[in-house]
Amino acid sequence: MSPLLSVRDLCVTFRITRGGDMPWTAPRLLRAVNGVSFDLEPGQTLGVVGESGCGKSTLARGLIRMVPSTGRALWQDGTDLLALSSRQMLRYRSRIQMVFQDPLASLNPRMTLGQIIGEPLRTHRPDLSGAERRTRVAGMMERVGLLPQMISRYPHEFSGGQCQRIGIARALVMEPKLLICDEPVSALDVSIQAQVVDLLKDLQRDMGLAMIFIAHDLSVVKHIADEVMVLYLGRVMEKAPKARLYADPQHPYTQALLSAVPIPDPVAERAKKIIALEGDLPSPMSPPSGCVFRTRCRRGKPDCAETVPDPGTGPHRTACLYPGPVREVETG
Amino acid sequence: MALLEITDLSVTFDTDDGPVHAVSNLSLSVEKGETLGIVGESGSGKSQTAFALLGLLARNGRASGSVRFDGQEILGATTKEMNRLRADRMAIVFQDPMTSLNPYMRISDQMAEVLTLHRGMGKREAVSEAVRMLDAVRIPSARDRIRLYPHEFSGGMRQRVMIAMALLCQPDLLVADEPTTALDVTVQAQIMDLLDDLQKEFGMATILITHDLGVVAGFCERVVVLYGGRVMEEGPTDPLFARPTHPYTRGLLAAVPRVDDADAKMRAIPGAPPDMADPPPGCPFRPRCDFAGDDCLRMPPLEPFDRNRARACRRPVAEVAP
Repeated sequence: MSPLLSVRDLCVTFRITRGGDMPWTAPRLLRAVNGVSFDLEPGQTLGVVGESGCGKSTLARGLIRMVPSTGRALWQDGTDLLALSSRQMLRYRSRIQMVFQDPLASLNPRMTLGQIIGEPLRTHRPDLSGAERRTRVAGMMERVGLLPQMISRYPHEFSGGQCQRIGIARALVMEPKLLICDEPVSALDVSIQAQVVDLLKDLQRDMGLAMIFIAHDLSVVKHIADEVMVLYLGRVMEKAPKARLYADPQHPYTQALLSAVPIPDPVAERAKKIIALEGDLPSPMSPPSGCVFRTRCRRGKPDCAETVPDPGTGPHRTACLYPGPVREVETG
Repeated sequence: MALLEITDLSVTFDTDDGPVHAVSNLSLSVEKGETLGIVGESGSGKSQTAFALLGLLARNGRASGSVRFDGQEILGATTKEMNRLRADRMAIVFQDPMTSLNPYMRISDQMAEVLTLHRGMGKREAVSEAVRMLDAVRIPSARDRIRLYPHEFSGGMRQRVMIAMALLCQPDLLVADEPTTALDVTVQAQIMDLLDDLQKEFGMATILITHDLGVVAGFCERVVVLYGGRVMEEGPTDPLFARPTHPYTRGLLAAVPRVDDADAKMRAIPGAPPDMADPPPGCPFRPRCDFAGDDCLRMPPLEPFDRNRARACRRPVAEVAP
């Protein structure tokens, strides 16, 4: 099967100017996403994890061209999304939809639920009559677990979990092929998180959706992703099928990240060995040379400063010169 | 005698939509040097319990019942009396370190202020004591960095500053309200590790308020589970996690995703938390509970069972591992 989306060397670069800069001062560059490549098969879920500032949200925004990006993003039909004009891109936007983190902030407070969910149809399907549009909206509401009588209510009347259902309904009413979820459950309570994750999984199965699921919570990603990509300072550290990544991580950063996740079981949590990361995240304005993780890596050797490690090819990719399982000396 | 004894605490807010009962008839106690976790989802009343005992409720909030600290009733104490207790004998660390530090003051001035005010120290002595405390929370080159302003620190470092500040007067009770929620997971691990060490070193009692069951599991000796402003279940951490008996505790533990378990499922709890402005009658968890019956329309009392455990439920689940 050919991939739905094939991304090669995606980069997002911001030009940073500071107060006091003169017109001739060269702008400084912040590379938020640096050389990210992956393939996404139809119906599959790619989990993107990393800590704040690692570029996971910018990656999504770069893909759908909410921010300028370079590289290639080939759609199934061979079209490079990053090379399209904005008018041409409009056609693809209905096939790629997005769900955002803050459920209330991403809904227009002055629009009713029916207007919010119907808006993508008004934009992309002006040929539909009002009645057809209402039928589709009502069908979608039912599908995400919202009652039909809620259609003329406003977002502030709903809880966080329900607002996220509205956001999902709005994204799916166009029947997209790809759904990008940017931290869709991190603002929700634990008991509600599971509801939304279940809903996304059901919808994915029924509609054959591919998903890019961005989250900082590795345990949530574990429950929804088929493949997981770990980012640090804009670069891919490790990418592997879910089972491999969680059971047998090879990159020291993935290992540290996984070891830090608290386990809701006192006995397991006390027995756990944490791989502590030294120091703070370096400034993305001046990332370390070579491997960007080397300043906090216990495995780092002098040559890590000189070579940017190549993640290689194959299903399990590790961008590290010294990959391998956790060593005894690294814990504690 | 317990260090902190809360009896029948209720917190009510007067709002335009009528009174909101954030906490109802809550009782709990904390021994000297004990670590207690208060767990709950948003709206469970966990933060308002802490604010009530520290006298920090919003203007439209009222607390009733009794809060005894070291034998002395402190609910309804004057601001002056509370100011003497706060920072000196009890201290709090908030979720967001950026909004709880004064952005216009150097760290040295903010920290020294605590000691000049409460301990009557001179400025020079206070600053050197502050440096010592920054060393204790493992801030590298504390002597130089104490001259910086809050924005010049990273989120994790700011939370370390907050913890150092809270510990300056060596309080008997530290309340940590979601201290790591705003932080990345690797930073969270560092901060919880630090709190654990400091708690052992200084021996203060600690109340950790959090929604994260994983954080509680690693840090607390005892746990209180809140829902809809009421205690659902409490007890020592290990048996509570291994054999939860309240349907809510069980549901919550089953809903949390686990990173260490190969095929664990996240099992959702149907429905939504109660609207505290219009709570359901009886047990607040009743509308979402699989086991609820008509007798749950009256709030069940918190009854002891097993060893040092208690629960408020008429239909407790058999004590089996989830």
